Amino acid sequence: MDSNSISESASYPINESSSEKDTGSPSKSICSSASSSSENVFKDHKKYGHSDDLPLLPGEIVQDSSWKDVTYLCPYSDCIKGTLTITNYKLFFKSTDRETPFTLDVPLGVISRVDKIGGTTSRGENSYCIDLHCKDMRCLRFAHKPENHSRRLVYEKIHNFAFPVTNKRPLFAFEYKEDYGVDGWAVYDHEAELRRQGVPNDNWRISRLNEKFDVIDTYPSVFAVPKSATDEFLKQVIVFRSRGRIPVLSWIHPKSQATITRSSQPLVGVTGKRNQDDESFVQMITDANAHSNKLYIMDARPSMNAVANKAKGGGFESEDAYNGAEVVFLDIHNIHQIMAGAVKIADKVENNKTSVLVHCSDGWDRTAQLTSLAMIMLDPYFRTIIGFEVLLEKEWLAIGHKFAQRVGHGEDKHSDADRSPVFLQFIDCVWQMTKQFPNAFEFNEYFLIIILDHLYSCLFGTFLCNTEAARMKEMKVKETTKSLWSYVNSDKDEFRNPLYAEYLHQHVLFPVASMRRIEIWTHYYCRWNPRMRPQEPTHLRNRELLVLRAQLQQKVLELQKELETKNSRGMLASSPPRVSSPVNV
Amino acid sequence: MSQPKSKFISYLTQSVAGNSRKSYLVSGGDDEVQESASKFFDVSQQPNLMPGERVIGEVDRVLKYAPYSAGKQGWSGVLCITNYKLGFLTADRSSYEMTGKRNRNKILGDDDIPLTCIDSIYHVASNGKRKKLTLGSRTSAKTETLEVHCKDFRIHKFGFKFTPKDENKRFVNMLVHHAFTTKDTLLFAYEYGRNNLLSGRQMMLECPQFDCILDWEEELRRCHADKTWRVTDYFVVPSALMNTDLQKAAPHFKDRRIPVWCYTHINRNSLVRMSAMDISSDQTKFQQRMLDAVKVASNQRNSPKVVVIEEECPSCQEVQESFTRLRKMCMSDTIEEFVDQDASWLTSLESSRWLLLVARCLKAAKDICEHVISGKRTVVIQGCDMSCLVSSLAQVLLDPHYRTMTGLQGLVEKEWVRAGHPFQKYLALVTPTESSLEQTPVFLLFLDCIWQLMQQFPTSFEFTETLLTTMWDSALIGIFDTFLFNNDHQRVSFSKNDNKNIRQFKLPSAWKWDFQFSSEDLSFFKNPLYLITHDEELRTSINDLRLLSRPGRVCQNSRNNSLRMVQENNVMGAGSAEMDPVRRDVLVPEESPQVLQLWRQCYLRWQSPAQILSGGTPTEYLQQCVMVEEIAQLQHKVKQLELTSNSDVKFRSKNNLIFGSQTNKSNLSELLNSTVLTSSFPFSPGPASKDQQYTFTPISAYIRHSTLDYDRD
Repeated sequence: MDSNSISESASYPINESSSEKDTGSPSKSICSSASSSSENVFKDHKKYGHSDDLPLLPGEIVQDSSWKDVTYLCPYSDCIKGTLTITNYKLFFKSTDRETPFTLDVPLGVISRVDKIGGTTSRGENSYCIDLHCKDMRCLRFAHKPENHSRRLVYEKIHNFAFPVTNKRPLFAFEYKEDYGVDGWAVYDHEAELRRQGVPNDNWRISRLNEKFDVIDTYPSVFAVPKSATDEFLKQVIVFRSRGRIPVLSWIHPKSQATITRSSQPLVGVTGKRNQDDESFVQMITDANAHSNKLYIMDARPSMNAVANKAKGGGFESEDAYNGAEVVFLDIHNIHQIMAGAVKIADKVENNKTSVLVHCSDGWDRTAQLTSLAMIMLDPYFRTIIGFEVLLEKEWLAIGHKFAQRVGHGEDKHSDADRSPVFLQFIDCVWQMTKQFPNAFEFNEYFLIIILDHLYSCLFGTFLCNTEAARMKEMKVKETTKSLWSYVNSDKDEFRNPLYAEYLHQHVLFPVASMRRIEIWTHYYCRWNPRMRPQEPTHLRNRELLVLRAQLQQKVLELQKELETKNSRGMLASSPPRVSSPVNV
Repeated sequence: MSQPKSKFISYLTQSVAGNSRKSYLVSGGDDEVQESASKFFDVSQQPNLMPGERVIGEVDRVLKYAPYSAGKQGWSGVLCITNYKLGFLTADRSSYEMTGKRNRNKILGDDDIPLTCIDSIYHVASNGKRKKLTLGSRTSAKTETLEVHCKDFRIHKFGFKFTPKDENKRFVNMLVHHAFTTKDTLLFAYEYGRNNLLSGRQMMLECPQFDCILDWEEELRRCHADKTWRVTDYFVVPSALMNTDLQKAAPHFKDRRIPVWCYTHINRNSLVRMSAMDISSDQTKFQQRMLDAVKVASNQRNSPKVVVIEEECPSCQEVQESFTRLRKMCMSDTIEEFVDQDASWLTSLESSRWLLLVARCLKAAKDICEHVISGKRTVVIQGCDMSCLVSSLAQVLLDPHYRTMTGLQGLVEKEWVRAGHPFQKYLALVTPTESSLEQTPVFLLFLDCIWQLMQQFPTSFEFTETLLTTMWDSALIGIFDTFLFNNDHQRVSFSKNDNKNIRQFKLPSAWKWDFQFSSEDLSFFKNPLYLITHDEELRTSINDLRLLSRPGRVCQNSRNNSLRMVQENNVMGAGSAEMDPVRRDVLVPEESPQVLQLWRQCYLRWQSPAQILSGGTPTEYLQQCVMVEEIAQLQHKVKQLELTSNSDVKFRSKNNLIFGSQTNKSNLSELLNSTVLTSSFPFSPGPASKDQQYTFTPISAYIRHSTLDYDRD
């Protein structure tokens, strides 16, 4: 079992608080009695790193030996001397100069940039360094001794394994062998999720037009469209939408049948082209909802950008051409505006019983943020652990959010303009919602943090590639890699929100998108700073309550049982006169 | 219990928005408006008067606008002014029924504004001109709208559309005259005290008030300091000092504030506070004499450490300026204003510097605390206005006693009320004649500091933020002995005022909470997490739990997670602290401004567009309450079962429940059924306006779905 353990150093810095304690900073070493006891209440854990042993994942191989005499310049405490080891998955640093060992365990996938700082002639003790800029908001600096000639080798190794794509090597996900006993790839199935939503039904059908990914290369193999649209007809609509991304169903209201559909922009262009088929397809979406003869088209871009896109052949729907459609520009610049946009969508669907079509330019960045947030607001299923996994698979992965490009998996092009933290921004919005509705979500913030950490780590196949076609057809990730959900679902307790009260939140949530309610996610963005960690983690206190309650319930049951047997025995015993003395033999 | 569980219910469809708020102005002409309005005007209402309170004037057919409704919704009724409050009487009770607001004050209605709580009054003339009305200013134009801005950040808006010009002019001038009292003898509290003789029982308090020698002696004993310190009317000085010594030394200290005892820690180091010396030739001589006496009283060889806090702490001027900016950013009455403020929210928050001031206070208190713990000397705080804040905050950090409700209230009495913090001046209960004397809420800053501590140590405080917010509200109500005076001297002369034949009277204490609230409402002052971690029996269960998961116990299935490595280190750090009784119960907060937050409950509660419906911290709080109650019930059951298996004795559960102990379940759910839960609970202002959709989550849902089973005995 030992070797099976995953070291999630990405999720929390190791031992940095110990180093802080060593330096005599009082901030954490004095604790109140309430916070004094163990924080890790319910999880057993073991120490690792007794001597020189290095925690290795199955499939992980140490590259060369370890480099001694490397100094980690910790921004939050003193310099730490130790040994540095590079494997094909991670960078591992272990202190040699202190009693409580300090370790640092960084998956190479999080590194976006490696820099050499200073030269052999630089003055000062720790001026001959390697800087690692990480995607998870860290900047690590290791100083080398010029006389050891270790820097060049370390730099090469890191560069080689942190950017496997650049160096034409496989990502570690394909070498990682682990058995979780649960298959995370089975969590999501297009048709099963559509069936859960009640599709196919009278108005919607499932189309297999794209089964071989050859019609719309960035779309999933299966999607739902209005029943009145035949596959032949869809082929005509494809022409008028950017990258062929025609409007498809994201979510349908179980009662009113109002829908959320998503697409890319129509190819209107400067001349204001029209397309009969696209217009009637949009009409079919409107007609599929009996409650309203109106359709809101939410354009996620600021109107300026939408107009500018006309020059590139794109644009937006004109209200004259599309009957009953109202185009709304959501004018999104900031995080609270994304939430405001999603609230608008949820409000139209829920309160106006009107369908909404969402798009931006290509319909894989802003659109994904908006539809998935609106779906979390509307449907309690997506607030569960499994439901959220399904949501990511459906609204982000299957429909072609370009994870590889936006994150830059395994590439050294740190200033690539196509990189963008769109997904991080979405997860932040979800976190904001979990803060506003503390008992409406089954998962806790560690779940969100784990997702982000393994978005970068490339340990799992889940977030690799740009499209479903690439993932399933070319890379065959289901066969060759593990799913992040295998790991999560093998022990969900860790990710459960102890305050989750399912019964209370079977309805729609409307978060407040005001800046007055937006908070900085310090537990994610500032987690490397030991001073920013919670003094007394409430979620653990809450979880304690949960376990305590379970224990007491168990005890009550046991005692009741005991009492029953005793009573029944007592009745039996009381019928004949007692003869035996209390002391036997 | 047997509620049908459907998978997808939208409460929105049951929304009652709009049909309970009467809209008079939104549609139709004035005739229609007048007609529907007159239905309400016909009902005459009598204001609820307190002893000594009398109506000074009233004006009929006034509209009270709903907040953020842009004058399109509201209620109509009678606006009346008494010598205590500005009251609004309406026959339309729908607001009452709908909002189901908790924390309903027994002495004040929802629409009543104590005159002491009014910050400023604006009038908007029919030509649209807006003007601030100050003391002495008179209006000649007809008032169209009257805006009353309160010290608790609330805005009340009244419309005078249907009142004759003369009448409303007279009324507005009267209001301005009475709202801004410049003499303390004109405060209503005086009338009230004379007309409301409190019985001895009504005066009884759980917490010490330190207005008698006994309370002080008790406190000295509690701190094991009664051997070397003595009580003199009503402060504590080294036993070695005679009263004549004190009298001699006093003039040399600023405001005659000689070193007085505050607290003695478990390591025998005391906390003493004094003011700076007045500039005079032999100042050092007197100061040295006093400090020597303190040294002797502390039984120490070293002279006490004098900490001058003036540099570290913000000045009154800074508090005042910062508070003015904070108030500005937290008050709005139209959606447009709200959205505007939102765009520059973080900028305003930063430039208000309020959190920075909080950080500085926490830092000062933390430093004092560290001196007390690690030094071998008694610590003397030298300062003026901020010394009460720093010394009481340091005591909260040092001693868990002050983190209980009675402890905190006693602390306020000891360090603020008795030490002569000028509440009346700093809360501007009497209208200041100079602008430099505007509201300087040092006390609010203190409450904010405590709130920050509660965020960092959620299980260490017996009370909730609701208590702190209510304390702030109570400070502005203007009838409580606790917060009404600048010092004891004023307090005593106040109660002896004028006629000799009237016997001395006393005002109620703010700590008499049942004077304002029902016992159900008072349960929201209790922190369930504190209850459970400080309950003897439950604590052992929790400790057992934690022991089980101590490091060293290696289990299979364990996933080696660095998250846990961090926690392990915390455990070890805490372990060493457990060894040292001096540091055991001491809180060490993090004071960097990044970790501090805005106290949303207190500052944003009236901003209805910022309220999360069926969300926010109240839902977390109630969920915890329910869980703790379930645990308490189960524990009780276990005990009962254990006992019955041995004998037939039945016993009743202890009263450590939050909801359950006083009322039975059915009664409770009935009470809670009407409640709209928002993030501003229990100060819920209700939904903002008609077009804002909202959901209901009655608190009773929490109760109904929990597995609670109350004993019906």
